[in-house]
Amino acid sequence: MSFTAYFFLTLIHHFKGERSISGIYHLLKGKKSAQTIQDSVLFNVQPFFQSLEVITRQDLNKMCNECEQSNLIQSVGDGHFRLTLSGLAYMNEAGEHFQLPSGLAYFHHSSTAKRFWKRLKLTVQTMSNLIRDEGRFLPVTNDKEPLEWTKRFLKKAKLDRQELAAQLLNELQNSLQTRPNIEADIFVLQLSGYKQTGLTLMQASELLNIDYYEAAVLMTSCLRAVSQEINDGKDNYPLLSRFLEKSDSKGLTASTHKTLTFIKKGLTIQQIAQYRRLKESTIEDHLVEIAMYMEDFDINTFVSREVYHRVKTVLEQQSIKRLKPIRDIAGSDISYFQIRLVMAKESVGKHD
Amino acid sequence: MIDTILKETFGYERFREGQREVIEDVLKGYDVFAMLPTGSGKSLCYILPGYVLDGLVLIVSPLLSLMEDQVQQIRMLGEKKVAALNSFLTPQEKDDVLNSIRFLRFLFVSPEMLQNNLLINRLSMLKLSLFVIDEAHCISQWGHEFRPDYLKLAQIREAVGKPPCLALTATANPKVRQDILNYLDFKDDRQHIYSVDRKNISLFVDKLANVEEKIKRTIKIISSQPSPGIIYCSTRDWTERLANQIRMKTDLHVAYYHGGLSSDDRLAIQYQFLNDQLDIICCTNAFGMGINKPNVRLVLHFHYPKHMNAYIQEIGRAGRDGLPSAAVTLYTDEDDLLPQALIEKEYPDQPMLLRILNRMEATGAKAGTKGCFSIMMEEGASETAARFLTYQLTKVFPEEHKSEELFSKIDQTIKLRKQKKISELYEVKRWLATTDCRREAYLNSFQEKLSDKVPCCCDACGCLLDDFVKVDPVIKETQRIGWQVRLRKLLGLDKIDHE
Ligand SMILES: [Zn+2]
Repeated sequence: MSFTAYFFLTLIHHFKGERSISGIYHLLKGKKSAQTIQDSVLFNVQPFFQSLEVITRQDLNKMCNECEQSNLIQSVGDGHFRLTLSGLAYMNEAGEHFQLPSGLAYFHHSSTAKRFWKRLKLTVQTMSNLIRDEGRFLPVTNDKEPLEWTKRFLKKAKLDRQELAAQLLNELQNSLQTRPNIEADIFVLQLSGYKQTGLTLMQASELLNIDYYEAAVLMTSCLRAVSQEINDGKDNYPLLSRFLEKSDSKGLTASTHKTLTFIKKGLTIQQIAQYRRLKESTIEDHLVEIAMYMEDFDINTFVSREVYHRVKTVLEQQSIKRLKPIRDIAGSDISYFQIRLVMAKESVGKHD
Repeated sequence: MIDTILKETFGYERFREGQREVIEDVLKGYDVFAMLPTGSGKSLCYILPGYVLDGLVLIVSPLLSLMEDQVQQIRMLGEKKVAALNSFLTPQEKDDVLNSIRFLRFLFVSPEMLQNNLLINRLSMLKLSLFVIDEAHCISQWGHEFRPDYLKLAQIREAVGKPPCLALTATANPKVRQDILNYLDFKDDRQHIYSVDRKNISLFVDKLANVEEKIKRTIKIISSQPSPGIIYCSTRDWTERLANQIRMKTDLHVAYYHGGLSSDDRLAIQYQFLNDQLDIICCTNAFGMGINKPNVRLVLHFHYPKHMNAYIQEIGRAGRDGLPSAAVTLYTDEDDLLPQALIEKEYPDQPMLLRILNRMEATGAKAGTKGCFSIMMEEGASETAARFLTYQLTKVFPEEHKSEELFSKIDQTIKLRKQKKISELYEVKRWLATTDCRREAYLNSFQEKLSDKVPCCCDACGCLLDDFVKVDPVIKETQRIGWQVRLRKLLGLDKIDHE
């Protein structure tokens, strides 16, 4: 039995045959669609959202076939599966050897964690070279955002190089100490420095002799938990807390971005739809996307606090899986759009 | 003066063969065609003039991966005024580059980007000191990465104020050379041609009975040969399979590299290789362009390349430090099937072509539109085939509207192209089968003569692979040390073992 199979069966169990393998795939990949976000809240699987971005469809299908052949899951039609009784027993037994890495629970740090990692990789590499007076090296990424960010970070830093490196080392040690050794190993093996290139995740998993997908989940867990640790104790992490700084609206699709600029100018959904000759529902989709992408996007204009709490309370009752019954309970004065907005916010972080 | 710049900016004492001659002619304002062998420091020929001439050096570079490496290389010199424009940038990033263009010293662009009017406009308002075409063999009809965008280069050069032009390549036979000069509209030009022969690389070819034998032989060779080494495979899948085999059967540090990896992973593997953290890299031809690692001792072709040009480019990554190195090609009869199939896939076959043309006529879909492209794909054309066809319809035969005429003309073109590619493939096969000196044979295909005999030339001349003695591995161990120690080594000033 592998960790990955356990991971997969757990998800099948949560979805109870109501979502297809495709749905699981999008959840693991962290697809930023209203549907996927909605599912993660409805089925109470937020920790899994974007927890295994490196999974391929091919591998997921393969795993699915294997589990079906071993009679652990059975098809209920159209790409949907349920655990069989032996599958359930198997999963429970496996649950004694494996557990879901605890850091996954901090799913609201999902995008923060990724940003954190890109910036950190580059900063560690740069510091490692600078303290040895090496100014010429090839950066570990070509991505613009972390490159620009690191440049600004170093410029603004008040400490000299040696002190800065010592402080960074100290904070990294303290934050990683809160994690299991295996997670910290995976984390540090991927870091590059002076005349030393870090391993890829695949190489790290080979060196540590664990399954690639398990390593990927552990890495996700580590990043989220470390982000949480830093966020909780900003005073203890004066440097690292800066790595969590929010990003701006980059990452939205161009069309959504346009909607955002109109919203900022104070236009209503109807006005934007009219002006852009799009359906109102399309604009609403954009807003749901914005709500889950931008942590600081304020949805108060669309959802009052009172409504927000009413919907949230209903959401917390796990038994409900569809928008309609949520509305039936929460109140017919609430629109589906409002429910989706609340779900979007709930998926990325707390809002009160 | 150029000697001082060479020393102060680049840290070199001396020019390598050809560099001085080329640079001097560039500085005099001639149009220059230069053929310098791979690994001879071609890029210096335009970077150095950038520090002498007044104005922007514009470099047209055909391959994206290459472009990124080139930009990095220049940044490593401490130069900040360098940027690249290509279709992989976001609109925002493109804007950033366009807005900062007048502050730049070096700008790399892909040929497609030169079709952008805004860019041409901006460029025409600036002073361009030099117009560089890198990997110029690509712009020949006879070249291998030929793209229609190249045909307009002369026109574009005119539009941006006709700055002097430098065309650089590592490999181009006389036919290709003439083509390049024509396309670029070179008049009063200077040509510098240096031999493609790399004397410190010994050539070996080995025919095996089947794939299993080939894998065995590969493992035997890399176990006894000096590393680091590069192994070229023709598919992504094979790079992974072979790397796994090697990992299981040897204790060498091995990694695979292909276009399917994420860009950060590609960088990591590439840097590990540059840093001597890997013995062997199994890769597709996506690896190697622009990579300047002096101490590669072995280039092994697990699948043979599609043409001699690619072969020369790829083995040219060995022995850039001038020390003895080996180029080994292994092949089996089965290997003949794949390249043939790949060539077939690059073009629509006759029934497919007919179906596409008929559908276009029936639906009124115009060539060059998205809709037309999807018709081609729906009829089973590969992406390359669809792009080829679109080019034929929009650029070569835009005036031809009769379906039958169009069909026979395009069909004719396809036949010629295929013939050419297959004949190039046969050239490789003939070379593999030859019992004469391999070096002489490949120089012949570039219409060169072997000047003097090389000591350890090739298997046909009696050179043995066993003459290459394995030395101590250069690899730094990635031992299993705890994360705390590793982190302190990265960021602490604890003395590191290799300091
Ligand atoms: Zn010979």
